Formats: sequence, structure tokens, C-alpha cells
Amino acid sequence: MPVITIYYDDLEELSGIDKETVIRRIPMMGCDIERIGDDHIDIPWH
Amino acid sequence: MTTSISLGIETGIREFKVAPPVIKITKDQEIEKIRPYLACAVIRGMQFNSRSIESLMALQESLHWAVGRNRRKVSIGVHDLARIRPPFRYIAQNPYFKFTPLDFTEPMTMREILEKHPKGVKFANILEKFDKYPLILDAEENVLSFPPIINGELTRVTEETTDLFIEVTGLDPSVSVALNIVVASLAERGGRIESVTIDGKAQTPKLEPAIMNLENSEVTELLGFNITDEEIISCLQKMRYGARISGKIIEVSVPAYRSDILHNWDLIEDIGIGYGFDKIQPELPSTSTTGKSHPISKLRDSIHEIMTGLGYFEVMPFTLTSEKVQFDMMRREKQEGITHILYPISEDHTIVRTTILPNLLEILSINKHRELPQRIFEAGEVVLDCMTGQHLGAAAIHPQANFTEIQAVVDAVLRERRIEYEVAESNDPAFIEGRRADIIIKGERAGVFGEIHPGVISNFGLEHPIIGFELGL
Repeated sequence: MPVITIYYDDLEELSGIDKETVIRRIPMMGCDIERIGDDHIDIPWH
Repeated sequence: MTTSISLGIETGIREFKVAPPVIKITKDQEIEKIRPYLACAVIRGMQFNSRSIESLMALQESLHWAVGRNRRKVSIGVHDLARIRPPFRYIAQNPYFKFTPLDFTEPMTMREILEKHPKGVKFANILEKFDKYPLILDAEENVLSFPPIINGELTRVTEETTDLFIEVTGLDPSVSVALNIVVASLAERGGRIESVTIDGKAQTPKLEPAIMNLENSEVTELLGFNITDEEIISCLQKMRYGARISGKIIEVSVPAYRSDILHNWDLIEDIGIGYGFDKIQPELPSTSTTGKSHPISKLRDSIHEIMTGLGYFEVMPFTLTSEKVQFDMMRREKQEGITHILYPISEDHTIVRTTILPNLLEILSINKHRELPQRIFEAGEVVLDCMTGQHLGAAAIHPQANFTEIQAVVDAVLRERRIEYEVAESNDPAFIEGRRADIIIKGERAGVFGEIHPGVISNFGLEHPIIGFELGL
């Protein structure tokens, strides 16, 4: 299964939302979180 | 797109504006036999940095894996349009044609790329049956891409790139699925989409939404709580669908990049996400029971422990197969009592398997470019005379594979399972005469093992000795 790496600066620039809000909502989108890094988050792609 | 989904930053379906085509690409007749499907697009006005280039490359690789079956079915090339001159040509080229592949500084022939370039070595098996290879060229004979292997160094995307040419080649119409996802994600980063004319007639990308119809009762039944039509529409819009009420039906417009939406239940799952899983009230089940492992699961666990202990890797092939693989390629007579598929969608899946060993040889065949030795097994279901049975099959391929090795494995499995057995001369034509034996348990034939016949090895396109066994559990 591919794992998508999302960098926080890229994510915040694209969405206009702070990373904490997005990370909090990810499980509510039906996604798993594989790893929370200092500058990125890894999400397995279902 | 992901972040705007569910957080409600933007709602409703996004309409993609696609500018009319300026750029043309033609397809050679010969390519129809090699890699016939092609979909292309141009994206203009991009502003890249190292993060967005990395993200684009990662998206490409994920699509190669998930949609493209590791590039065999679909592969994507993204090129800096400023470095090439249209019109482009998609042709079948001689293996001795030279160009400089990505990450290299010297020109190589296409054959050398398959033998020496890391990507060539990795994906050479996709083109092994062909004496000509796919190639995309510009008007000045510059190479854009050698699909599905590697792009040319010339068109590398850098932080200075603003306009892109995207080509997706493959073996079926899902090239459009991959193209739509790439194009939509680049449009989300501010790119302007322009279509491309293919062979003077077709134009891609096609980004019109698909229409699906839902009823409130389906949603209520599956989610388990009452929800109004208006709430359903609001949830769908939050998930970036278009939705409107049409009589008793909710008409849903599904974006062209949502290739994962195949059934109304996929829509209902998204309605649940849009509603908010955290807002759904949990309920305890009305009955409580204690579960335990099914006897078949216990049996498989035990087999798994024994086989992995013997150095074998577990594989999970499909239970559907074809008579060609199951009997013809195994040199075996067709059995009575096979379960046929009524309306098969592919000639590769026309029956339910009666034995596991042919599936294992197929897996060895797919992995023949990997290093040896390879040892694999599966404990799984087979069906004969409408009865489901459990079989254990195992196969090993390496230059020293011989009868003694597989006999030791069979003996270890049966000893660990504390099953008394005898061996008897076998007449199974899938194995070499004199190097094969039947496994007899309580006076009945329960399995077979030995060295696989060279004719079978050759039928699966393999070259090294193979040993295997199959045992009814």
C-alpha cells in the first residue's frame, strides 16, 4: 500500500489550515496515520 | 483536495476548466500491439518548489503502484514542455535506438537501459516479450519518454518549469483515471489545464463528472440513523460532490478524479465522513457473545508457523484461475467436477482452482527477475465437485532444488502435524518421472511432491529447477 508523505509547510500553504487541525481530523476522514514527523506526516493510501 | 474535504473549507463539486487543444500527438500503428492506450494533457502556469516537485513524483509513484499495477498496466510521464517541440509521436522503436535517460549523462540504447539503468532492470520484465519498445518523441526527434521504463533527461521537471506535458500510456482505458488524478491535483496547485489531440480525433483529459443516483432509504439503512435529503446533500457537497434532489432520487455528480467510487455504498461512506464519524452516537450491540478461532483458522495458523519455520514465504494468490494455467501449463489432464464461472470478465479467471501449485508457479513466473532462491507456500481453499477443501501447496526455485530437499520439507510438515504417512510412486505429469511421489495417508492419496517437469517450468517462462508439493489438509 503506498504511503503518502505530506509536508506541513506544503499542506498549510495549500489548505490555509494549521497542521494540528488537519491531523486531528484525519482519523475522521477514515484514514490511518502511519507516522507523525517533525516536518511531515505519513498517511497510508487506501 | 483532501484538506478541503471534510473540513468544509470549500464545498460542492469543482468544475475544471479545460482549454481547447493546441498540442497534438500521433500514435504509430505498431504500438497497438505493445502498449496501445494513451491519454495526455498540458498544464500551464505552475510554480514549483522542491516540496511540490517531490509531491508530484510521489503521486506518480503511488499511482504506478495502485492504478498501474507497478507500471505494467499504466505508467505516467511528466515533462517540462519548454524543453521540447510539438507535435509529438508515440511509436514502436528498435531496441538499438539511443538517448540519455533520466539521471544519466551519456546516451544508452533502449536495450542497454533495460540491462543497466536501475529503473530498466526493475521493469524490464514488462517489455520482455517484444522486439520493439514504446517511445515518445518530439518534432525534433528528442526523447520525452521510454514508457513504462524511464523519461529522457531532457524533459526533467525543475523549479524553473512552468508548463508541463503529461502522457499516460498503458494496456487499458484506466490511463484516463491516472491522468485525471494527476491533472486535478496540479489544477489544485494553480495549474491551467489544456487538452491534447490524440491521432487527430480524441481529446484528453475528460474531466466531466460521472452521475450516480441515491435514495434516502439506502443511506439511512447503511448508516443506521435517520438523515434528511438536505443533510445528505450538505454532506456530499462537503466531500466535494455535486448533489441535487430529483424527485425521490438524489442525483450525485462524482468528480473525475474519484476513481475509487464504484458503488452507492462508496458514496454513503463519504456521506458518513461528511456527517462526521465523531457525531454518530455509538450503541452497544443488543446481544453479547464470546468469539473463538474457527478450526480452519487454527489449522492455517499451525501450517503458517511450520512453513515459515522452514524458510518459506506465505503468498495469497487468487482462487480464480483458468483451465490453461490449472491443467494445460501443468501438463495435467482436465479434471471432472470443476466449478466454472458463469460470466467471467477475463479469460484468466474462468474457473475456481482445484489445486494450488499452478498459482504458486505463476507467482514464481511474475518474480523471475528477483534473486534466487525463492520459497513460497499457501494454505488455502480449492473447490472440486462443489466441495470446498483446504490444501497446502509449496514451491521452491533455485539451481540446486532437488527431490531430497522437497522430501525433507514434506516430511517435516507431516511430522510436525503428527500425521503418519507413506510414499508411493506417482504418475503426476506435472513432475519428472522417477523424481515424484504420492503422499499416502490412511491408505488414500493425500498429495504429491517432487521435481517439477521441465515442460511445466518452460510453460511458466521459468528457467531454473523447481520443486514443489501439494497436500490436502
